[in-house]
Amino acid sequence: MREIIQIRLAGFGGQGVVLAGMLLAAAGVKEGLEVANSNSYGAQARGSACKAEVVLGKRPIIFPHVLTSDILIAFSHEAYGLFLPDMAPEGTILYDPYHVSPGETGHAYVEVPATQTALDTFGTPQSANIVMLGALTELPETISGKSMTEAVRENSPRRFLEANLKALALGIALMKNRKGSD
Amino acid sequence: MSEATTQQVTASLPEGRYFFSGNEAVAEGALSAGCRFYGGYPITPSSEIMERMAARLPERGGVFIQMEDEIASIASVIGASWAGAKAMTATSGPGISLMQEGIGYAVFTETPCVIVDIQRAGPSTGQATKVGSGDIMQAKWGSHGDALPIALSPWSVQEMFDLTLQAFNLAERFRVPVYLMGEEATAHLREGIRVPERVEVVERNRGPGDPFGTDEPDGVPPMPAFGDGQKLLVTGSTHDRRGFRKTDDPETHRVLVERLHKKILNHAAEIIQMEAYHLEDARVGIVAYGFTARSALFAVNRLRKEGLPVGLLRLKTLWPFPYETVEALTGSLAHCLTFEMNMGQVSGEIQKVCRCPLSVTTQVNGTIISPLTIERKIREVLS
Repeated sequence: MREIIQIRLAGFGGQGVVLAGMLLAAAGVKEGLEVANSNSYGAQARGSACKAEVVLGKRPIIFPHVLTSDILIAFSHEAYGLFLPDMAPEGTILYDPYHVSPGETGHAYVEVPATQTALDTFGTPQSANIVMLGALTELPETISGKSMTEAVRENSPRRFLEANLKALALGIALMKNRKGSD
Repeated sequence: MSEATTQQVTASLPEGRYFFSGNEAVAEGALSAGCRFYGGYPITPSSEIMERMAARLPERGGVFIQMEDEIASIASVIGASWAGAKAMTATSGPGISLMQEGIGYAVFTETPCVIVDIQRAGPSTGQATKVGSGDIMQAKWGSHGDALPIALSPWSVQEMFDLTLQAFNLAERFRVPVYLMGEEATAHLREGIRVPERVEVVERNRGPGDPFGTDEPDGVPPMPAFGDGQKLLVTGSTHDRRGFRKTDDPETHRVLVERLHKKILNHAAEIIQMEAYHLEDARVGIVAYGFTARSALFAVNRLRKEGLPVGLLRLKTLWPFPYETVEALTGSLAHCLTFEMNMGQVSGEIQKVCRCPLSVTTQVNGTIISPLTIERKIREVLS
């Protein structure tokens, strides 16, 4: 892994953006990394713009917010447009095609049909955030699926634990299947 | 004079690495310090401290009370402290304003307690969920009369734990209210922190003895608790060393008010903490504190890689203020810069002793000061 990886997750309130950021950072702690996780969201519980940031480091993190994202996880088209200018040129964008129509910007794009997968499996889009985290673990130089699973296991309320673990596995499978078909 | 005692105790959690928000770390720092009473009223962005204390204090044999407002909260904390408990409250700017009368009373009755202020954008209710750093002068001057509390400024989740613990130790050692001047950006930040197996805690000197006077002009008297057996008089009016009201005697008032200052200022070296980064050969120096110091260090490190002679003095203690250090430092600099999430509160203190040109950058838009802003200002000064 590089010395510092800056990851931004963004969408709207209700999509579990803040929780996804928290789980990602918790998984980073499991890997023995230094982590910093911060959020910004509107006063409304649902619908307003929502952002989570995770900085992972091999050494202590001096500035804990994202300045240039190495990875952007876009849960909404608005968020994608808003945070595109802060992307590292060689950065990677994970996007949910249910909400985001990406442009051609020279970045690496990874399509993750997280909302559709959640709808097909659970009948609700609620766990799309966890599907997305599963997909993220399959990118090089990020968090391992094992650490992410541990973080989800430790931080899920009992009634959501089974669904969250399944959503995580689905996200991992989405990426593995894609690699298989390449 | 007998003294407060220091001992090693096990921390509130098993030794290890934890993933906490700043507010959660404050609660665990307090529990590790031996806090046994919390009285408070919830307010953004401090509420998670209260939430965790509500869950955790009863597990450790402590008492948690949600009071009807912040005035009652600080009163309950003062009462708990006189009952012998290490006591705290946490709030934000609007609550700190309400608490000022009680805090002045705590200063004058020499009541150890910890007041956590998770600062948000003010004045008044301002922007409840946004960051600010506008309560620094209020911590010193908010209460009437010449009060001198201690105020600490953490910059990380680890320090939200460490400095809360230290706040209790300083409160017990000096019998004084101690502020932890947190900021929304650190309170809601989540980071990995290390909780050690054992921590050093200070226990107040419970006497017996006169609870409000010492032979030394800068001493800290013993503090018996109600129930310890000694008859106690505690009053916010001027009192002699036994606690009797002496509201007409000039000498009693002078001796008391001066001792309350000297017990802090004459021990400033024991209290004041700061960190210096790249200052040995710096021509341009930043003085910063709290979250802003992280932005400043990031900028300084980047410019150092280009060979630029910049450095940072990071204040961990805001009150008492390190005037001597700032004076000495600015004597060796060509230019000093400050960055604050208020209209220049600490900059005013620096100005009092600054021996080089001072550039003050203030930002009051409810967001943190970016390292890029700091980098740009330094380049302007160097060009």
